[in-house]
Amino acid sequence: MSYKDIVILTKKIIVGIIVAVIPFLIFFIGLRIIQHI
Amino acid sequence: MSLQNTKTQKIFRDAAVSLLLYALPVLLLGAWLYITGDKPWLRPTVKPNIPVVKAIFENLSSWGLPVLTVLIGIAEFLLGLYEKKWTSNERILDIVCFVGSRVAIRPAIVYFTLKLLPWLLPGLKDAFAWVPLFWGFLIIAVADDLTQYWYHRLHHQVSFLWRFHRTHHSAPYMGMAMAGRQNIIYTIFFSQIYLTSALVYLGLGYAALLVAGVKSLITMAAHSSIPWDKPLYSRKWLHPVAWVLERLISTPATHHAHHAASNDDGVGHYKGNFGNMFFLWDVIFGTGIITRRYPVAYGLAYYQQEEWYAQFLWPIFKSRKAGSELSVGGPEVGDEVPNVEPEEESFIGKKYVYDLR
Repeated sequence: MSYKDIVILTKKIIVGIIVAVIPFLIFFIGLRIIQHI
Repeated sequence: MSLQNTKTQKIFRDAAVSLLLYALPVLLLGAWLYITGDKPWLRPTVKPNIPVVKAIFENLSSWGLPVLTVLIGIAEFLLGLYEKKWTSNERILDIVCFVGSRVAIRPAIVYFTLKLLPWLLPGLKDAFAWVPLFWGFLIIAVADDLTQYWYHRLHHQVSFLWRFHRTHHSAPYMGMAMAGRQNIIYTIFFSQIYLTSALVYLGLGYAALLVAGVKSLITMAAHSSIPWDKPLYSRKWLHPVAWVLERLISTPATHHAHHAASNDDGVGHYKGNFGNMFFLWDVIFGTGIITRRYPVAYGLAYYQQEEWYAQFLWPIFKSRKAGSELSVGGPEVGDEVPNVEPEEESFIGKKYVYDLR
């Protein structure tokens, strides 16, 4: 694996994390708010 | 405006709409609880217990789906649906991916769920176990499938991601053999699996079990080379059912179009139809074409039958085929045509193909 491959792989993992974390925060914060209203 | 800028703007615009779609089931649940005055988190949590349903879906998730995949695969093979395209290289790749996904994904999820989640979300195990089953099902269905839509779409529309997903599209045939054919990196970092695991940890496990079963059956059927949807198109009285189904879920016709080798046959739409369980996302974002016909050919028009290990393990191992996307210094996207303005795609997609032949 070259340096370029590692950069691509890192970028791919970051995109994957963003794609999972944003909806998770929406659900988590949303359900927490419901519990506190 | 350049093609890349237009595409990027559309991705961001659709991502903004997605935030609302993700929030929708939670907002509806909040409204429902507000109207009814119910506060289920104040009651002792009673986990849903429908033994028959639980047993069916648990068995489906553990051994049922792999066995079903193999049985349908054998039927497809006996019916000659792979023709002579299932060469030794393709066969090894399909089998390695089928086994590899179970070897790679299962340990990754178990590690994430048992080790990382208690550390990332301390004290929150079963925090949302109070969510009623119906609402939990809705939340998981949107969470899992919309996230997979985005994961999938980005691997098609963001150049540097394409090669991680290319393996799934290189198969020159459709069927159970290629349904789980993916590069190992794509498989390990499947975003929706970790999102759903986190929601299971928070108490939505039963709903996740049901969604996983339904979703697997729909996606399996959409990849199958047995066109179960054809009777819906040939019998007039079933057309209303077809109309609803082809907008709601992935059918073999719409998903096969996504795997077409070319768009030139008027059916193929390999740069769209990204939905997995729900096709609805493609309808909403205008990335779908609804067709009732099947493509002439599948796979990649520029496929070089790259070595199975390069397709499975890129970028760790590279192809020796000169000019391949998977070779050292190969192009990011083999069929990119620069400086072509895309058609304006509207919100609530209007690009449909109907052909009842």
